[in-house]
Amino acid sequence: MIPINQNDPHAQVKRFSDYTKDIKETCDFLVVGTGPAGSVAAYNLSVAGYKVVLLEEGRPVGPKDYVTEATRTMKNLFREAGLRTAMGNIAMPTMQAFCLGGGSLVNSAICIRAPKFVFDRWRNVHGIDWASRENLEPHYKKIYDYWRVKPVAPDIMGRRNELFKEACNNLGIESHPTERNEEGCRGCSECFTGCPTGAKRSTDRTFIPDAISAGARVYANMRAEELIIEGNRVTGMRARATDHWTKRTGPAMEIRARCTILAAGVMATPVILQKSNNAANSSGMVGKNLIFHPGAAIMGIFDEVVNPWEGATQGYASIHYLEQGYKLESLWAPPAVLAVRFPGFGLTFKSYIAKYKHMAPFVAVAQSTSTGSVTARKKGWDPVIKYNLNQGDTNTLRDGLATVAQLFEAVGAHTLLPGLYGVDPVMKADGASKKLKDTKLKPTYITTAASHVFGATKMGADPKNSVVNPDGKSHDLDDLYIVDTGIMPCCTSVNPMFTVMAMADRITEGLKKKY
Amino acid sequence: MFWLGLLSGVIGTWAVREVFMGYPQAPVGLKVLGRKNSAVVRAIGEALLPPGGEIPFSADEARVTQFVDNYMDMVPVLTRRLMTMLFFLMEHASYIFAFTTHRLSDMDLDARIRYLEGWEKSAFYYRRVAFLSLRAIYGMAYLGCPDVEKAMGFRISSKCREALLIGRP
Repeated sequence: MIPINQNDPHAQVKRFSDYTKDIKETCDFLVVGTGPAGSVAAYNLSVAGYKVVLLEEGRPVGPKDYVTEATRTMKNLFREAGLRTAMGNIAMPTMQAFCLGGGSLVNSAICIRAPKFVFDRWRNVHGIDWASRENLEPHYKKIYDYWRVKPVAPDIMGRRNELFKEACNNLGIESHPTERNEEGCRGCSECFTGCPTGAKRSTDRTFIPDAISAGARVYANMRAEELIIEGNRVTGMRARATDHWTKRTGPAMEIRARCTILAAGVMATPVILQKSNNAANSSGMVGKNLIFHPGAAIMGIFDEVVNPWEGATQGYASIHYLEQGYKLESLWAPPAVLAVRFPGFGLTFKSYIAKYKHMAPFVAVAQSTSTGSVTARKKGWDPVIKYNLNQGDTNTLRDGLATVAQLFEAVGAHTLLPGLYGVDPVMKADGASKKLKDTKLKPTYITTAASHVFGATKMGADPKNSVVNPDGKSHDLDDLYIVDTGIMPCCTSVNPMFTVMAMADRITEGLKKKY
Repeated sequence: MFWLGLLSGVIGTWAVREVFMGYPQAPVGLKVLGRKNSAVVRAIGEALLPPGGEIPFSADEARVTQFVDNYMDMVPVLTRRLMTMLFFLMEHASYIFAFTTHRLSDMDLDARIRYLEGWEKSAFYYRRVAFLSLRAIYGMAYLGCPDVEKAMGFRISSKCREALLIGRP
């Protein structure tokens, strides 16, 4: 075992400045991507004694790199400086992390199991025979225990989350403190811009150092560019050192592996396949079936001082309406991002900024049936993302927002800023829910964003309409597996991180038997 | 033919003047924004974020132009081009949407506000999105100013401040 310095968990990660000449590597397993799924796969296989190489295009970052200023953080941590947008009948911002640890660095650390009905759909509609909560439970538990997942403690809840809880209680609907992978959170509400205290147990501070300790070699600033395919087998990957901050590229790398596991994320995995001469795509489904969890928020204004920037970023949530199609959450994000929805000009606009300390945003996140696509560009590595929000999902979001308005009314907000076109920009909380429910919203009336992404390399029993089989193996190519949320054939209805990690754990257990 | 030539000449001269001329010197120290775009950024800032009110700082006082310049220097090339196009569109679409011969930066303040309100409330989705993008840029710039943060009461609790200073739990 290699000892890891817990004060500097990235010390043994290779980065751009370490690459002075072309590199050749051989290993049992090559894992591409260090987000939640890739990290679990690399950790499991390393601990089992396999020789593992882990590639990450982004760079290692830590608390010293995090700043609260939104623009610098977006450049630092996200692809396309945080301005990536899916285009179609709406323009929808979607943020993907671009750093060691991937999404686990910049999400709210929410660990929640997918509901039973999701697995039923996967099994009955997509032929994924193992799909059930019971079958995935041992894998959930393994991650839960390793990651020391626990509910948000009352002392870091903050008034914003408490208001959400009180609202749910007043309406008599289910709510719960979110369960998160953290140790020593101080409730700074800075989850989306990188945990400044290092309390979030993101994979770059947990699974990856432990994988390194077990012998894995981790190459950051290394972009996976093309699969090496010999006959019907994938035998490795060609990669290139790259530093997105300075735009420089460096030496090439060639990795030969007995098995290659793609975990680059829903946007990047299809691009790698498409740039590898459209590999693993006899079904034509690589890059298709792109699914999001679109969300929309309402800002409530209270008489009392809320100080919404205090407390856990997403400390409370409700799955009461999950079967109706939406999840409700308390939320905080950089103030500048939320201010986009403030109405008016000049002094009016500024008066809302001045009221910030009296506000709280609650959000509705919809299970989506709308689909899109992700396609590699001829030049460059940022894909073209197309997405059309359908009327059914728009109605679900409207219903969710109507419930959010009800929550605000139930807990004493006096004014709402719904941020919708075709609706009063400033509404009295009293009666707002009914008004919203009765409104006919079109997809373009909603200001929405989405960062949970699914489905662009979907799993299924039928090779004609899926990319990987129920074990995560490519239908077309041997020794190629995919483990990121792209394999989920439809959305999880809740935050997907915990489920994709459990699935990665399950798939790698299978790999240990096979290789 | 003569009259057509004359008309083309007049329109051409007017177009060249409108697009390229009459902009004041850009503030010293900008890296990306030239004369024209710095004038556009400033003109929009005056309409969106004037001095006075509950948060007294204007866009100028919050150094919004400098922020936008820095931001454009930071984003990918494609995004920078899109932002430049956005400012160009805002500056010159006034001929169509405000039925005026003035570009945005030459309009008086009330006309500028009315013109921008037209973008905010437009029935055309992508016009509203263009305005939202603009508002997002100005929001980041304005709220990124420490004086504004202080005026709005934004503060980090002492237990977080302590951690931030240490950089570790």
